[in-house]
Amino acid sequence: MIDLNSILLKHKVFVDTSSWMFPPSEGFFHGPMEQALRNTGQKLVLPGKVLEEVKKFLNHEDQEKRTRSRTAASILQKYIDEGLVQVFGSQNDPFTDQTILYVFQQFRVRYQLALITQDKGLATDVHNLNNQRAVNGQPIRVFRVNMHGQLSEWRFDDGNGTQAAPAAAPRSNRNRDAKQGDESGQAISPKKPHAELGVDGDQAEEENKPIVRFRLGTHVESGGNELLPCRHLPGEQDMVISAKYGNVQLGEPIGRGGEGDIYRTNTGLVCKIYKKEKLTQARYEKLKLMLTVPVERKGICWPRDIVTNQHGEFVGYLMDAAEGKPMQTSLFAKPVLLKNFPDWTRANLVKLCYTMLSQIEYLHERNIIIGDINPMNILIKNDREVYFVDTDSYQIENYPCPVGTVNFTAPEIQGKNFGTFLRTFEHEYFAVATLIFMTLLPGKPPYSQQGGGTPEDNIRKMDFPYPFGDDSTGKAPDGPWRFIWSHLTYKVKEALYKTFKENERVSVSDLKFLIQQYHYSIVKQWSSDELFPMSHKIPEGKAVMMTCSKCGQEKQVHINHKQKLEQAGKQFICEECFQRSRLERLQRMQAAAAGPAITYPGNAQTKPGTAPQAGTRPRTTGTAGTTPAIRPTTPGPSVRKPAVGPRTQAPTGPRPQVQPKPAPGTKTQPVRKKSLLDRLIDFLSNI
Amino acid sequence: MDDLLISTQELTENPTARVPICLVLDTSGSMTGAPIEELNNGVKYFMEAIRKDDIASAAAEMALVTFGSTVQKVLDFGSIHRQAVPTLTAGGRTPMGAAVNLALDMLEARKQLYSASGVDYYQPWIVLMTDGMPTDDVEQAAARACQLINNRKLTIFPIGIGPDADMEFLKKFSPKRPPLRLKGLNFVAFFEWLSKSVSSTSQSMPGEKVTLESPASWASWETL
Repeated sequence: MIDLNSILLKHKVFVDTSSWMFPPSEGFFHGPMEQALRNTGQKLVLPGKVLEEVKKFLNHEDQEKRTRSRTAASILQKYIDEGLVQVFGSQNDPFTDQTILYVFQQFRVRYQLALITQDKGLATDVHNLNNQRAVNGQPIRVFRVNMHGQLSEWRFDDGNGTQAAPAAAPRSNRNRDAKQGDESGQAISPKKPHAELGVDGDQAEEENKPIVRFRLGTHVESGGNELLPCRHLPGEQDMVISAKYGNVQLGEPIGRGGEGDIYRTNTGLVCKIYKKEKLTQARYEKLKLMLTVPVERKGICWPRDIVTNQHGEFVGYLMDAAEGKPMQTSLFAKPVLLKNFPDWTRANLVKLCYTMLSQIEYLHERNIIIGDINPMNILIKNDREVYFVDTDSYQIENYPCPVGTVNFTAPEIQGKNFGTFLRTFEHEYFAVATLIFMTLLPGKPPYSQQGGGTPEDNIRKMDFPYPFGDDSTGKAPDGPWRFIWSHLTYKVKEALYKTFKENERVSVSDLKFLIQQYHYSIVKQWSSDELFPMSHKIPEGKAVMMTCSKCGQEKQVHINHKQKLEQAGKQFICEECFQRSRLERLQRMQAAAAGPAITYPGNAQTKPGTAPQAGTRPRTTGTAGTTPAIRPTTPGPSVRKPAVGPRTQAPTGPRPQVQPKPAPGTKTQPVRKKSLLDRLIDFLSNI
Repeated sequence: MDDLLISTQELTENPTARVPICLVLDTSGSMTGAPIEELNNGVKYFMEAIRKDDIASAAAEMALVTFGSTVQKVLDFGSIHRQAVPTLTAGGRTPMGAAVNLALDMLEARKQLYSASGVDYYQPWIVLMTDGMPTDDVEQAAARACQLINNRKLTIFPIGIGPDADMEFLKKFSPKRPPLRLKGLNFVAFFEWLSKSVSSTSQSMPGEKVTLESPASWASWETL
């Protein structure tokens, strides 16, 4: 029997929406809880958001929800009136569960905290705070109200929780729990399709299992690079042997990589067979180590068992099959993004960030560092379902992740040989921030900029081009990128700016929280839901209309901008016109650089492979009249011009048969203008 | 103007790091007949292969310069999606030096444009193909190319076609990579290799080392 009095005396007790709205709670709040509060003179803590959430359900179309929320409202009314609760926070806070998580994270060092919730996902998340490294907080206790209207403690089997209560609910119940979760905090508004932003039910289920962790690495495991014997490398149709799954037949190959091939199998799992020259002792040992920690989470294609050939020699491993397409090829350019996810809005991108961060958080909790975070190794099925593949390269204990790419590599480890040191969580946070940046600005690396150096140089110098506060280098790239940036929430911008410019990185959990807030802000229509906004964000009340002096269109501008222009006596040119004319000038410079271009008429419409018909003669778009060396496929008299260059040298080919008179105005190709580069540089430096 | 707008948008909206490739192709009279036909097939194959690969087509930007009767900019840099497959005809001499100079100018200008708009790029590639020897002075163009290559600002693939291709001249343009001779008229095999190389490069990050496939499918063994 739980002693409510002592819990109330020792802890600050929070109650989540789900428990207020849980029917058996009525008796509990009117009975034992009320009694205990009066006995002890304590108060429950009530996040302000709970009130809004309960209120929202008063008009819900579902009769049962209306009834439940009415009951909850009457209890709450009484508790407020009689001073049994202390309301904190405002209704503008993010979802209740996020607020609670945040508060628990922040205050667990100072206070003993307890939570009453029916939502298993939230219960697990809060409980998991107990497992956070490097924080010496007070143990958090997590309760729920049971069917009998009594308090019982959530049970977690990781040795940190109190042994109590029945085991975690079976998966089939999870849907119901998840629904309660929705009611409780995840703010589903039926009108807004992307309002829900939670972990998939079955994942929350997995999170309820105890966490087993790898040790943190201390030094790079050396040696073990000798090749293992392999008399036969299995291929399609061959049998491989797994201790866990028995004889497994390889099916068709589904992927070929530098390390080996991946096959379907008759088990539903897929099998990676290494190339002979990759079958080392160290690889074998690392895989064995990976199998010691259960990593059972949908979307993380962790090794399930080692396989051998018929001689009992190590050849590869079985793992979960992935779904979806690599991020690099499905998301990282506007055309492929629109093709693969035609219905997406910005909310989907943000949700995708959340999903990926949840996966990474799960790995980090187990001391797994991905190392080579890379858009080829993350497969996207939809915004709630992603698959992390190539997990055998992850950094596990003393086995480094031997690979990496420039864009995702923190400045202090640029240019280093990845196989020779262990990455830290700090290194990983840089990579994670890059991943999030390149998801929010689909495909654009954070350090791409006007006139910048190589990506490696830019990263080393932390030369981040996007503005924050008063700081602006003015070098953010052209196109939609600076607009997208301006529409991110302040907090997300701040976190990315600090990471990329000031070398202050945020943890995955913190970033996830900010991303969740961003999502909420979009749902609330405080932030733009456009994938590719075409203008800067203008804060409410700061927008004024101005007419563009070039295109004549009315555009919204920031009032400060208008005042600046008026003070300087300048005309207003809209962003589009400004960028267009700037690029037109640049392109003209380019055209001038290289002389006339020969193009076919209707270039953009020409289908691949269609040669222009006779009659649609190639035209020059530069100086008129230059004879092209191309002509319609239809054979006809070729018209040629004398060759360029010194005539004194003997031609190797036959002379042209027809020597036409040069057309008026035709000159030989202007081959090289030495001054061009200088002109271009002058021009650019004056922009 | 519309075309300019499209290419402007294309330039700035596409976040993919570009691989600018300039084909510098010999269309002198000696290419008449089967060689020019096969060359056309090869170029067509290349453009179609790139179009089929989402990432490579977002990354690759091709330009085409021919040298024969004249030095000609057949295609200026742009997305291969929007470029029509050209049909090249043979005739004239072999003004290779002027052609390489033009290609280098175009590449330089393109790089400036990338840089000014904040577009990442890989160091450009030049594919230089000839079946004979230059009829103009190549010294200046070769010196420019070599300087860029030695500063890692350019990769050049010099390729000789047929037995009369002067490999010594090609070597002048390529201080690091020995020129290779095409096996017969295996242009298609070459362009297949080139499109694969573009694909694997486009999936790396600028500045990273990319190992290209062996050119054995198209290069004559004695030059390998």
